[in-house]
Amino acid sequence: MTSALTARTGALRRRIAGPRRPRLAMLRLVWRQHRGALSVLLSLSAVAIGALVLADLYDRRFPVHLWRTFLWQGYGPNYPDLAMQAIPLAAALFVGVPLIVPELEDGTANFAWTQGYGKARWALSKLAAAAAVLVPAAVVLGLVFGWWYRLYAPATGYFTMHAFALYAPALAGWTVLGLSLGMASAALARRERRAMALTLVGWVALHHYAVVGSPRTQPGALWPLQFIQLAILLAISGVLTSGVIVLIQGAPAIGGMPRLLRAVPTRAAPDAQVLARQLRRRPIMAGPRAAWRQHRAGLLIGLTVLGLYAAVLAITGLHIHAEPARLRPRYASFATLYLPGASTDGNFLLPLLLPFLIGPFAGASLTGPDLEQGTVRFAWAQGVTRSRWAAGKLAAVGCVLVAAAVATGLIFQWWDGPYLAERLADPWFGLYAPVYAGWMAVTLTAAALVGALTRTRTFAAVACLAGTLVAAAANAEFLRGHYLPTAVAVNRPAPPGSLFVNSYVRHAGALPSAIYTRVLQDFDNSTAWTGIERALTRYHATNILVYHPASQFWQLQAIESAALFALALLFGAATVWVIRRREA
Amino acid sequence: MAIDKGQAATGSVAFRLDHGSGVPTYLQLVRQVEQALRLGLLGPGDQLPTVKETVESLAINPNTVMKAYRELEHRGLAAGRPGLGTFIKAKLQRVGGAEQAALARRLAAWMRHAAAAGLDDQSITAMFDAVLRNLHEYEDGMSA
Amino acid sequence: MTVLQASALSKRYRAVFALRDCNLAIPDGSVTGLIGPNGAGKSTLLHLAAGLRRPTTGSIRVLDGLVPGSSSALESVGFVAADAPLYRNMSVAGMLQVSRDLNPVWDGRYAVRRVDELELPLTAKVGALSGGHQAQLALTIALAKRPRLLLLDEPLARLDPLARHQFLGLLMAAVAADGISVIFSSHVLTELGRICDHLVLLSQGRVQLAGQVEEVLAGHEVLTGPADQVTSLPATLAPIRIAQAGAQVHLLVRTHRGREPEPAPAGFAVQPTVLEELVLAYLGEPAATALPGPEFAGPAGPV
Repeated sequence: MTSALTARTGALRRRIAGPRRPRLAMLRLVWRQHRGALSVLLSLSAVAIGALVLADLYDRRFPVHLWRTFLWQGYGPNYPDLAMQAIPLAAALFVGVPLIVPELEDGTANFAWTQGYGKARWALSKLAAAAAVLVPAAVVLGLVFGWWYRLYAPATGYFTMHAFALYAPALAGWTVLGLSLGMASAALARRERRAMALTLVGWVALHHYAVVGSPRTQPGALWPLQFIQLAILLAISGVLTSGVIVLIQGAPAIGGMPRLLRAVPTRAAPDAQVLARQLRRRPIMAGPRAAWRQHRAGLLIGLTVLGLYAAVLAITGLHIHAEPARLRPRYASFATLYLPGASTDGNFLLPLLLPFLIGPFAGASLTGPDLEQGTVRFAWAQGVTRSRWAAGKLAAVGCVLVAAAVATGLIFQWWDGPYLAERLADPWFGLYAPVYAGWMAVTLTAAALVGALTRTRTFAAVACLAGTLVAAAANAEFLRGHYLPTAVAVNRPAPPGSLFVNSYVRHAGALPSAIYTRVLQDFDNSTAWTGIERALTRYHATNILVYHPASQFWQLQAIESAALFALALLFGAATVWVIRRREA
Repeated sequence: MAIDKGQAATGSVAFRLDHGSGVPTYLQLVRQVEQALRLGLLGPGDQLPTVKETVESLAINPNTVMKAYRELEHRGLAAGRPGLGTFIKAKLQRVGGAEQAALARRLAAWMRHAAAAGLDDQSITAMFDAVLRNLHEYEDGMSA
Repeated sequence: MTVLQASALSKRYRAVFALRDCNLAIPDGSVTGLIGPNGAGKSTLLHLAAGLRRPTTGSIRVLDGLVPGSSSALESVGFVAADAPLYRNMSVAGMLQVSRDLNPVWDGRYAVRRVDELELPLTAKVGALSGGHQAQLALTIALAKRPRLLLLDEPLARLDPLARHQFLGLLMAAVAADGISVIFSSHVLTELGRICDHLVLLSQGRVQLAGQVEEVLAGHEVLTGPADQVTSLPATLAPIRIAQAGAQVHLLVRTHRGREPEPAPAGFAVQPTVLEELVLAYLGEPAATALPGPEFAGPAGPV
């Protein structure tokens, strides 16, 4: 052995044989086991912080109108907003759930529980360790957001769905709550996909009921309400964590599942004769059938989530279509989408976020687990070549999910029918069938590719979630304006329903920023422009407004979805190519 | 207690192998068939177990069983019928009672000589086994 | 007709050679045992033959020239990896149906009959079965494919003695019924001796010994004699292994040392060797290789 090697093992030996447990043992352990997902979330926070800082530095000179989207207070979230608000949810799904589920499934929890770590301490240590990594990032992001938002808050308000959850106290609170919600779902469901579905449901419910503040609250109450929100969220986290401890005290680590979730019905045992008959001839579409059989469980959960969203659309849509004139303005706020009469301030990101949650997880599950667990040694030794196996999986699962996304998008289009004015804006643009299905296809194939490259599932899923969200935000801000030739309006508003691309002022004197803010806020609101025009004349300023008129809606949809599907095909082909080159 | 009828589907001899005895496997099979013939458990026209059944219950290479059956054919005791199996063809010559008694007397005389020369029981048994083994190998070498 | 032909086959993982310059020609209709210490390259060789990995240099072909991993090879070659990888969360019936879907030729009736004989419940999750049952199921699925060549990587590792016996019995019945060729790696020498008619000994990535078991055994003998006469023995003896205990010494030597058959040196008795002794001797001396005769190893050079 070389001296370097002995030196390294010597240090390792000393560490293991030392008298005391090293400091921060649980933090080290959690980091080691979950560093993939945690790094992705930290990177996403860093990207968001960077984008906010850049936006502020370059302001109007740089065509990043990140802040532009925040000025529309009446509208639902869009991709940049989504990227930031998804961080606590991603923490819940991809850190909170995996903190508990694998150890309960494998029984390695028994190891920890017999090493001098009581069950309660184990659960709390895990939560504390994950929070120790994520909460500082959330706090920094929240502070940067608060600083960046200071200029726009007076115009748009502190208590909109865009802003309130992103301030430091609230964001930190949602992160801790997300982690404990993930852990609680995991302790209850004990299986990964069920726990994730349960987490999503819990998240929606909490965002509906646990939010304080409304548009009518006084601005001065911002910080008191922020800390009240934090306290509420931490209190709920405490309840959930206690629930985790209670749940793991009682039942055994492996196999035991609470009766509640054991009620999922299983199919009756196939008769041997029937099975032999079924196995006699190779059925048509054998490859996709094998893929369906392998991924059936997860796919059904994903389809159920999409189905719930579609059901909500259907129910409220019937309601709206009965009295469109009266009801549609009430449903203008996207938050009321799922419950008639609900408050307008719930943070409701899920519809737009669904392709970025379901797609990555489904895609990563196609390639990651087989490579990770070594079952490729079975799959690649059967009678079909690897390329056909991979292509069959992608085609089978891709078609099902894309079809579901198209169906959901069409239901949304029917829902949106009576109210066509804001279609070009997000989230509406992103919720229509072509683009919705396009993003589902892209996230699915990108995650399959990353899963094949990294041989992991959770890391591939969360990395694709973050990556595609950032890509979607960048696309919405930078690229969408350039798909087609734009129209220009000089010193006048754009027609209603237009998509804002850019606006700049040529002025002799200094135009107050308040006026310019109003230009951007009301760019397609002709009634508000009379005052703006007067101000522009007074300051001898010329405003050039670049926009896409609403009539170009379907062309823009077609271009974006064609590009997305082409990208998805490229990712799919790349996945098949990587699988061909992989060694088992 | 359940009786393991593993091998008995077609043939009426159950094989038992002693892997540590130093005797080649195929020879053990041949001798067990001969023993069954000697004891009258098998007669002409009886079918020997198929190769497939035998290897499944003994976990040995099929070639070993085929070699044993070929040896039995060579010794004139069995004949294979294509598609049907291997069947006993002839009886083993039985040694008469008087002849057996005479052989036993001669063996006892030899043993008295060996004991008088100073061999104990174990040495006698060892010598007996070695000579018997050499005899069989010589015979098998001649017939192979 | 050869079921496996390797020519100057090498496989490297980063800096380590798992297989180095291997030449093999394994004939049709054989049951070949792949023996060697851990890390000798047995798994690597099987994975290369199954098409799960690609050689670094040299070539490997199965069933008279098929490239491993091509669709014609995949249809005729069955493979069961170590620890029998199957989908843990799937039921036994589901596993059979997936195998049906993934193979153009597959005998479902045979599979169901075997599963019934093994008394595996059709709805049990694969992960809940014992190690022995999982191995049996994996073998059943591989055999249901009606392969011409079956590759098994340490199939007996986690099986209890009864399960091992049943597994080998099932395997031998399939060999007897369909004439398939089997190549499998194992550490259990006694069982290898009972069922293998061909042998490949791998050590440190190289082929030490390859050939028919009977010929290999006939090609070696043990000389037993007084220890003080060892130094006076001719050098052409080139013993593979010398085992000394007190005043007596055993030498394992090859029988075909020169052109003429040589008598034993004076004072030494000749005995035949058995498989276990031979294998242990070679494994204990990694540098020793049996000089390959034309029937032992494949031609050098690319196929």
